[in-house]
Amino acid sequence: MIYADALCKHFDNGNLEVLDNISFHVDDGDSIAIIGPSGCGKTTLLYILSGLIRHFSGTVIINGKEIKGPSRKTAFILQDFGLLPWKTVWQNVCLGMKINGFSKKEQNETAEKLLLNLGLLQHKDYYPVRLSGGEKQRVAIARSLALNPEILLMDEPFSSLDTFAREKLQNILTKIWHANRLTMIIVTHNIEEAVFLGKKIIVLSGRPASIKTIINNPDAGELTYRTADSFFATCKMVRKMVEDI
Amino acid sequence: MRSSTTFSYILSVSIGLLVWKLLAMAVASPVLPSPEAAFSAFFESCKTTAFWKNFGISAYRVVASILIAWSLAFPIGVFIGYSKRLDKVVSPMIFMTYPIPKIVFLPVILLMFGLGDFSKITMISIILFFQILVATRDGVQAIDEKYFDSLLSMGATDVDILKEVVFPAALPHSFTALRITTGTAISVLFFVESFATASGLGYMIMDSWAKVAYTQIFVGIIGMSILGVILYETLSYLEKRICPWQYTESENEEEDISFPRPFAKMAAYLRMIKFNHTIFALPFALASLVLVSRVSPITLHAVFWIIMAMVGARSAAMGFNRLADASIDSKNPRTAVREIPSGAISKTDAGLFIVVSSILFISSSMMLSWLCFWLSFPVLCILFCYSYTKRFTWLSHIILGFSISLVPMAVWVAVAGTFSIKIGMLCLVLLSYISGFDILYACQDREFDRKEKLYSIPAVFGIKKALAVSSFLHIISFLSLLSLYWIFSLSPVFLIFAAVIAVLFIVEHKLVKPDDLSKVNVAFYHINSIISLLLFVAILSGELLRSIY
Repeated sequence: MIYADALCKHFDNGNLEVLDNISFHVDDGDSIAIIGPSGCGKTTLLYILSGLIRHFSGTVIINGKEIKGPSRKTAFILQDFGLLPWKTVWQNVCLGMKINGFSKKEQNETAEKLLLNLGLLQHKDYYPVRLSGGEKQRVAIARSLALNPEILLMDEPFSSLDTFAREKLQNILTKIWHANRLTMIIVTHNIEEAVFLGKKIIVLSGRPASIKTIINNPDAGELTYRTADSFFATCKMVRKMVEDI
Repeated sequence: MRSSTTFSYILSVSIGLLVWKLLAMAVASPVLPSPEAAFSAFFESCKTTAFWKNFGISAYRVVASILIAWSLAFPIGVFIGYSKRLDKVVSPMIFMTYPIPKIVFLPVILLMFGLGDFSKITMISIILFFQILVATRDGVQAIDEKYFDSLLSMGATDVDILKEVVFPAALPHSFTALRITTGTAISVLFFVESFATASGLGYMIMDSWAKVAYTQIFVGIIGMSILGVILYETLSYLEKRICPWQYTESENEEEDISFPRPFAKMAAYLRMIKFNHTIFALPFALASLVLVSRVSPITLHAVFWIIMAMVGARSAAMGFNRLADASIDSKNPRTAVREIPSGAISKTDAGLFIVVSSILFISSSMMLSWLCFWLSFPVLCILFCYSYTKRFTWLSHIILGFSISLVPMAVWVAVAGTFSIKIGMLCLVLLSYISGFDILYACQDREFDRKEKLYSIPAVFGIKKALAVSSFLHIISFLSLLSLYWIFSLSPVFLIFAAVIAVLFIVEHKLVKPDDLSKVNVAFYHINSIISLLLFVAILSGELLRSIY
């Protein structure tokens, strides 16, 4: 359970307000898609939830405890994936485990299993520069799953991919989400993505970001939802919200 | 990539030698000996222990300096770059002292540390230290914040971030700085070795100067240059081993991305004249050189100008061919990427290139003999005419083979001063060999040639027959190669190599099928270069071991 209350954030010694009174909560195993115009502070919001930004007003409570900093239980996939160019796919996947002092044996077993599941085992010795955008994203997912997190935060996870790769990865992500009972928060500017992945869709207004509305979208996460009439109806509704900003 | 740099090296060295030779001839003074004289003196020196002692001590001084400078500058650079607080304190000090030429402290260092190796190494290290430090620090400061965030979100500590992000990100920057500073390192080495010492290459140069031994000065210069090249290449190699991610090619990037700017244009010229295809004909020239050595002694002078003439003739011919075919090439998707149609080289530039290459060919021929000089004109004419034969006869492949097959004969004439029927057989080997695989190449363009009304055997007779003709030509090639055994009464070792060549010919023809031409380009390049080299080795060993049997 993630509980965010009255989050505000200023940059530049208080001159630049980016978040204005953001409150929401997510139940365990649920997902939220946050959508809004670019530069509105969505990324800042994720940084706060991940514990990377510590100076803000308001409270974030995860599993009953106020966050004090980054936690192993919260995985954060940055925009552009944040893969280290000097590490191979395998080393990138093991990175989090290495930092957290997992044994070599444990690292090898987990990395092998994850890469096999995500269809990347044959590329394990590649450097990221050789991978396509979709493959990089899968490595980033593998890396964050390696620490067996409860919460997955993603910043524009599929924005750099073409439609085919994006939908394929959305399906993969959906399966992982259910299989690992993850709680997900996804920031996106793609309406279909928000509707497909978010059981709740938070529409943010422009800078400073404040919540315009929260749309309930209980069917999200079903693979067949993408072609359902209700899917298109929700997309239409979200589009209208976004256009009004 | 690797082969391109090798060829760039060869080309730069040959241009350098040519300029040197011409300068030496123009100056005509013992102060500037000719490259042959300098290199023979150099090879003589290589046999002496004195030279290697000097080379060794110089290498020791510069390598030790590099190691010391790097192991101090890299960690300090990393910490300054990473810690903003440290940077605030240390950077102003560095940048204040940065513009001061550190070499001026040499007297102070000599007074403090004495005249031994220690002060020399200290001096070179100090100069390298600052270069590496600044490059490393800038490299660390350029690291994208997202890598830090990514690691922090996994719970990384400062130590983790230094180990996993900062060190690996800074490594390539420090290596680049190292490579760039090798030139500086060698210059400073020369400076510190030029007085108050009795060892090292720098001392050797100064000592020869004092003794008025001008050629010896050049021995020292060549020694220092070689030391520099070895250092530079070793560092490049280490960088590739230690930072392999820098050299993995992304699958969607253009191949030339790693060429430094000034070399990109040269690389375009090299590609235009298919410089790497020199490997097909050059071994034949060398083979001819081996055979002609029976008749006439071979001088370094002759070898030098033969290579120059070959480079000139080949560049002129290929350049002319590309220019003449530019409009045809631009219509064919396979060749539209060539340098002139794609715009990498303008037509004017290409024209100029042809003129310069032709002059190189003619003047090199003149340096060989008057006979060669007069013959260079008809040869150039044949080389140029080939480009047009495709427009009216399917014999164009044979004419291409013929023009290239002039090489062994030309070498013979250059050295012996007469023609020879015996060497004509080697020409026939080359003629049938080249024509045979030109037909295979032409198979790829059959549809295009038909549409454009160009003549080639595959276009006129179909792929199946073309493959048969090609096989037939390669059989002739092999048989004439075999006949060299009797004509020149070579050692039986020759036959072993000939057998291997036969096998390679068969492999080559097995690779191409009328319905699958995909292997023509890549496989052929490798197999043909092996065939050519084997032919040279065959004739060389056949000739050298002849006296034994």
